[in-house]
Amino acid sequence: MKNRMMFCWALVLVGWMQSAAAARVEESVVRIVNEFNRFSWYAPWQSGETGKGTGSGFVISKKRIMTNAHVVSDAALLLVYFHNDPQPYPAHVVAVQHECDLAVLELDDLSRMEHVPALSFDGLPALRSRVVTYGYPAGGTLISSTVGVVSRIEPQNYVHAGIASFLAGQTDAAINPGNSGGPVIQNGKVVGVAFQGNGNLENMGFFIPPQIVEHFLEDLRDGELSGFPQVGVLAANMENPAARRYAGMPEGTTGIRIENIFTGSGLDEFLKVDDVITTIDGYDVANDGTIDWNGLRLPCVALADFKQVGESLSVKLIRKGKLLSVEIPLTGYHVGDMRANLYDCKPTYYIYAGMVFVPLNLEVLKTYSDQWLQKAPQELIYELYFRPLADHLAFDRPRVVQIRRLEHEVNAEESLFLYRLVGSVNDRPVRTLEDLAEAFEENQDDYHVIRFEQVDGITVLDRKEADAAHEEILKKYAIPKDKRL
Amino acid sequence: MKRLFVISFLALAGVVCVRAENPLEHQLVTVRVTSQSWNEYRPWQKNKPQSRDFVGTVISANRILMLTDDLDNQTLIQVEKYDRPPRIPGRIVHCDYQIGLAVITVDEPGFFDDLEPVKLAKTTKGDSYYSASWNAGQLSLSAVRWSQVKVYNSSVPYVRFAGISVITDLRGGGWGEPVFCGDELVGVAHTQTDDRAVLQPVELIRAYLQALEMPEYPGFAELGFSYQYKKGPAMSAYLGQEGNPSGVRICSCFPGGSVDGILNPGDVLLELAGYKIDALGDYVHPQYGPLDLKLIGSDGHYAGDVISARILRDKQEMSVKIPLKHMPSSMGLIPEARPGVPPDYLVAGGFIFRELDEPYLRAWGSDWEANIPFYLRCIYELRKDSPTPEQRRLIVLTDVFPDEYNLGYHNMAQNIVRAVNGRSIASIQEMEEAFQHPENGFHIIEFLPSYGISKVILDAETFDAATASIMKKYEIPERIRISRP
Repeated sequence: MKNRMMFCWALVLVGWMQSAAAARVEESVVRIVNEFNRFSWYAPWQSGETGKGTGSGFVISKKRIMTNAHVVSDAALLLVYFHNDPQPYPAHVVAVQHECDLAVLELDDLSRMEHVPALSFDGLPALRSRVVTYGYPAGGTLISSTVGVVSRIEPQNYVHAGIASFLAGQTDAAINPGNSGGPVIQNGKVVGVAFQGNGNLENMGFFIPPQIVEHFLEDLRDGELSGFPQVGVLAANMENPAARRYAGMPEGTTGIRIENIFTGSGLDEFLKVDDVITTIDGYDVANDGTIDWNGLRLPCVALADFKQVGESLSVKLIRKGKLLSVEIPLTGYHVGDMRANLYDCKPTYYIYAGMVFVPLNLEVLKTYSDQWLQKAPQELIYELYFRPLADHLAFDRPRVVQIRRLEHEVNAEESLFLYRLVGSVNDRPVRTLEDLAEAFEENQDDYHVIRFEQVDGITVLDRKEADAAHEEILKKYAIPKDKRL
Repeated sequence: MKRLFVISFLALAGVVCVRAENPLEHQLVTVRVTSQSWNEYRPWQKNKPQSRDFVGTVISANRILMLTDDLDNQTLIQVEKYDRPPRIPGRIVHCDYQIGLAVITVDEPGFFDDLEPVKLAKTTKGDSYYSASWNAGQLSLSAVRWSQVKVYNSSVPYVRFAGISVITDLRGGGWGEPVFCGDELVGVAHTQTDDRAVLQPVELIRAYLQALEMPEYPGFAELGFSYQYKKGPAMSAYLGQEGNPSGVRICSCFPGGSVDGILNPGDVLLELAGYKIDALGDYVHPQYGPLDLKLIGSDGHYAGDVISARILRDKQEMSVKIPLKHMPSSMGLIPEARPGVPPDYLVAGGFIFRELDEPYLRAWGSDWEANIPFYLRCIYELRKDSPTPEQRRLIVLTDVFPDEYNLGYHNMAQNIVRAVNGRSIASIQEMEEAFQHPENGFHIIEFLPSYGISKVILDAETFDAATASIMKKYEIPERIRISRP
């Protein structure tokens, strides 16, 4: 009987401890309301679309709250609500990194944070271990928690910026809109940040694992975010025996063959096309390009995600039959940022005599139609996605497209080529918006001649008449400034 | 018995009533065409055969006019009079896939004895017509009303024709149904969507029949350039034109086309074949009024004719002669059509290569332009009309039939071949030759850069045996097809 009593007490004690731990977590989890103002690339001079979104976050220090980048993107006003406290606390973004979908906030008045416990981080949770997610899903104002297991850990596309894949955890604990930015807890510690779902999977949500969060926080330590280094190469698998023999790989050696090196990455000093990379930082690279990382098979490029810009990777490779070791510096070069979803930035543009020009990027393409990939002029798609593979510099300097014409007598009867790449203005090659501005502003000829690349068409404006009409057009269409470069 | 007599009488009266003489009964025949198209994805196979009845129009003592679309991929042609058996074998006399008209005949003696040729109208005069076709042994007449005339691209490039757009009661037409004004043929229905049909006009039919009488069929021509409007005063003045804008600015000339080497991009085309060209690219057709100038190449002209043009080049007016050229669809880098010719292909080590053309892309279904891989969509839109002397065709890898031999390359389909064993590739023939020259015991297939593997390395020694083995495993009967030299 005595033993039985003790067992019951033990259960009560464990239950009390668990509920006390949960209560502590709940105190640290906040609801974030984002009153956003999102600028339009179609009317880049306008203030844009306003609206409201809600998400979750959690306290990580006496000053700071962690959340997802997409919870606080384009914020005009951020309000933080604590557990069981109806008072809104204005906050501001201290740091945001869209590629890994993480952000850190601070309250404008830090006094409310004094008695809020900060959550600490733990390591990567084990597969099949139980985790609890906390947050404010579905716009609710009361905290919610759900339990699940870690079902998979592998690289996933982080859809917020949509440009990179990083390690991510998958769990069947419900992660719904509003959960974003909330902690994923195991043994009272944070083992992930809930961040996205997948409509094609049932009851599956994803969280950002500690390795990625730690990278973000470490990167932030010097007050400036450099982002994740990217290895600017494309490589082919070596699963075919003939390919291995052709590359001079000794029997039993595995690796991948470099096919493409992006010039801006700076790696062409260290690597050559057809080099076979066999190990990275001591990890053997398999013929399918994966490494064995703590019992998980990850793509070998994931090793760069665990390093900071300025660090390096130790690479062993075979070049023309010889074994070499090279140290690859990891730079801040980012391949193809113009293909990312863009946030927290005001669109750049240039208007002359009613002709509106913008740089080519994904946000501009999205203004074409919901089906921009299929419907937009394919020269734009090619420019964004395929030309960089042949012309490695194409990533670095986004091209210019004419997105609109504000109709006026001076331009209305002239030829119009919307969503087409500008090749030159007044016989000066135009690569960037700055090139375009110079070509217009320094022209003293009677006419401005804009040449569009793929269609071989030109638009001509009478320079004096266009100059005279320029201010009138801006005024008529309520455009406060004719450029943002 | 009396009752039976009454019924018999009524039946007889009915027959007399239904079989009232109509001259059209002797001018229209039923043509049953059995066709079987190629499987574009498995080019050694054919799709399910199908049979369909079309109406044929007797246009001379032993000739029947049809649309080429009706006869595409035909395996059997049978002709019926009065929509009643027997079906007599027919054969194609001539097809012009570009203008879409064909002539067939029946060799059986006496077949045409009780048939009469239709009368051809001089022009498509009037605005109220009717169409006729056979339906269950009876002539079926439908009202047809003129809507407008427009210049259409032929479904098999490169020819334009003045199509008469009509509104009709006809259902499911557009397969060559003749359209009459009184007892004269004014056109044949070429396409139909809902109640809108487009007629091939009698002028084109007459021109086709006259061409057939010539010692050598000349074919119809295409001018072969793109242009832009020149209605803007600034553009006109910049190009050196005074007064009201007229003419169009030439943007590009099709390599090997009629104006290649005669007109230059940047020229202003003012007059063509004696017709003044306005700033919107129209000329005044003597019968139909303003129409797109590109009709001039085929309207009233055959390939080989020479027409004059007046142009403005470098602000100087000048005259040039343009010898009109027949431009078959095969001139395109990615041909839009491949009438009457099966797809060329090559099986090599389990890789299936074929020439890239629009029929292949159409294998993605009715919404093929949206559904094809976006790399192919880019290439199609940007390069389909841009052949060069070195690159007359693109070769696409359509599939890899998995085998140990091609391990590592199983997911490479839809890439475009650049070179094989160091030789540039522009045809299946060239691929076949290139595979005769391995490099140091390897076959090296290079593809245009994309995000997958762009260089395939295969063992040359076992290549032939592997190809044979894979063909046997997947039951591919022929290794290669080359239809054109």
